[in-house]
Amino acid sequence: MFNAKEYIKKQVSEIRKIVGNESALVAVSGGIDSTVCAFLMHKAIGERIECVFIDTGFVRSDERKTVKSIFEELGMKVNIIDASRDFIRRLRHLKDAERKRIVFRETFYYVLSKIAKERNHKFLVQGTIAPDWIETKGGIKTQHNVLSQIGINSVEKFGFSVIEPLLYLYKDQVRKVAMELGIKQLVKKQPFPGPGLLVRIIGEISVDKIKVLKDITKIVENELFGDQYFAAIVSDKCKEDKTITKIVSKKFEKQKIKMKVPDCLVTGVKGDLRAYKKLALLTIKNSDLFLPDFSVLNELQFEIISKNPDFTRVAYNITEKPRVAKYIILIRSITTRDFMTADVTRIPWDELTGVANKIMLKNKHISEVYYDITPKPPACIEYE
Amino acid sequence: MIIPVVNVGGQYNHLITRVLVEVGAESELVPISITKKEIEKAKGLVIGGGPQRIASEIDKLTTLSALIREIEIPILGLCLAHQLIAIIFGGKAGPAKFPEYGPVKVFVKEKDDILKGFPKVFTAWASHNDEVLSLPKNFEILAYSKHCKVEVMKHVNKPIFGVQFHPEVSHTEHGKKMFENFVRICEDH
Repeated sequence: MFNAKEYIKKQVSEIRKIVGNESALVAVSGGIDSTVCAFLMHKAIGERIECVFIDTGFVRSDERKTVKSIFEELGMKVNIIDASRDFIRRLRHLKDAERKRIVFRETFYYVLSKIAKERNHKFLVQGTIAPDWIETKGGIKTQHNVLSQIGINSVEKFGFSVIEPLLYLYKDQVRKVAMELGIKQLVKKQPFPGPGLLVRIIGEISVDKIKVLKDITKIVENELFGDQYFAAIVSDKCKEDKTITKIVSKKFEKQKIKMKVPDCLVTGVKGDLRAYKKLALLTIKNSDLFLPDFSVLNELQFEIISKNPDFTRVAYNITEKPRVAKYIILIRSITTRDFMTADVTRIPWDELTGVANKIMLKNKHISEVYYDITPKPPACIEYE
Repeated sequence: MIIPVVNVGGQYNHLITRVLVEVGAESELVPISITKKEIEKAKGLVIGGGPQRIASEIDKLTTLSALIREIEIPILGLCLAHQLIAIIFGGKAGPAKFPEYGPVKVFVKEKDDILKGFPKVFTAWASHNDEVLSLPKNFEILAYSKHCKVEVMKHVNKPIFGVQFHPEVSHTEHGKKMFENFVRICEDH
């Protein structure tokens, strides 16, 4: 069994050996992985660490405040670096998911490398965990915090060696380490991806989409639940797809079935292969939207994706307004132990439609709200 | 009890070592190029899944195929390795008509050995584009699903098992039990 106490002891002595008399820059996000790393580093080499939080412009609206208060509570200092202009300038107008992720990674390390050089830190510490390098190495998607595992020499390229104290752990094991260290307040916090809202803006990035998604994210995080729950945004530039009705119409003779497909792709994983494929937006209704039992939707999802290799994700319409609008919002909530596989959280429809209505009220440029009904696999947890 | 896991490049290969350690074995990932000599101390071998397509990319698995033929310790092949075992022993594997991703209902035919203690029906998580299309000689089917005829198979007189779904992921019901069973099979061997 995993022994957190021993793990901490081993890591602390290893960190001391590696760092020697040098100092280290710790990249923190306010999440459990990087905070545990910061805590381990502090335990190992005391004040010879500098924690930095980089505001990439793709963080949630009160992220800076949250990070500050977390570190205050833990009795550690954190420097907030605003690099949002750099990030947004480089990422604006990019559409392809991998391109976005790689540009994000390069910008991230460019910013960190500048700080490390200025303050003479020979080491960079980051909270990379097992799923990060597994997915990056397996070619599923490029995580922003994976370098050496895919052959990038950080010393040559950025001027620092990387220390990753949690590299072979999964989230539930990191939580055990956090409990052992006494960082209880973070154990229940839901994960937030390193590239943040970037991977929840499907397709082209725009400043307006970032702003809208920040607002909607607040609503979803306040109201919903799951091991991870969030919103994503996509432009309402869709094509209707009629092939689907053939597959599902037998089961829903009395209802009208419609499926539309946005003009950009989403990331999934099918049989250990990256599946950057289409997203099916499914609507079933009579006069009102039809909200069947989840098991019915499970089967539909399975049939659509198993019979159509072009698709990797299905979302189901829970609220619509007859208005011409720019955006579609997707809500996703999943249950998981280690984020390697994920099931869709069975949230009662009235709760989901309640949240969807709040979203529609918040912004008049939203035409529909969908609930993502795809497990991982075949979809990833995040959209890009 | 040392039971290495051959890393074929799949998403869950590292998770297999985690489960094996949890059920009391010593385990670590070994590369796909590993040879019989390098795993002399092993009491059993688990082979993970991978992104290779079994029909068109089997030439990428020649070293692994040789290893499977040579070793005499118990073998548990998952996903791609399950398909590879089928081919090595004279069966067929290739693209599935209905590939399975995510939860599938698995029906148990035979409970002995690897499925000891399993209920008749359970939910397992799968992720495969290919599958076993015809069972090799001297193998029997232990479990199946609606779309996949061979979810679990075993050799009739050797401790060689193939499983199409992923017992190593936390969403698969009773998944850990399969590794407990495998460890016991290795102990008894």
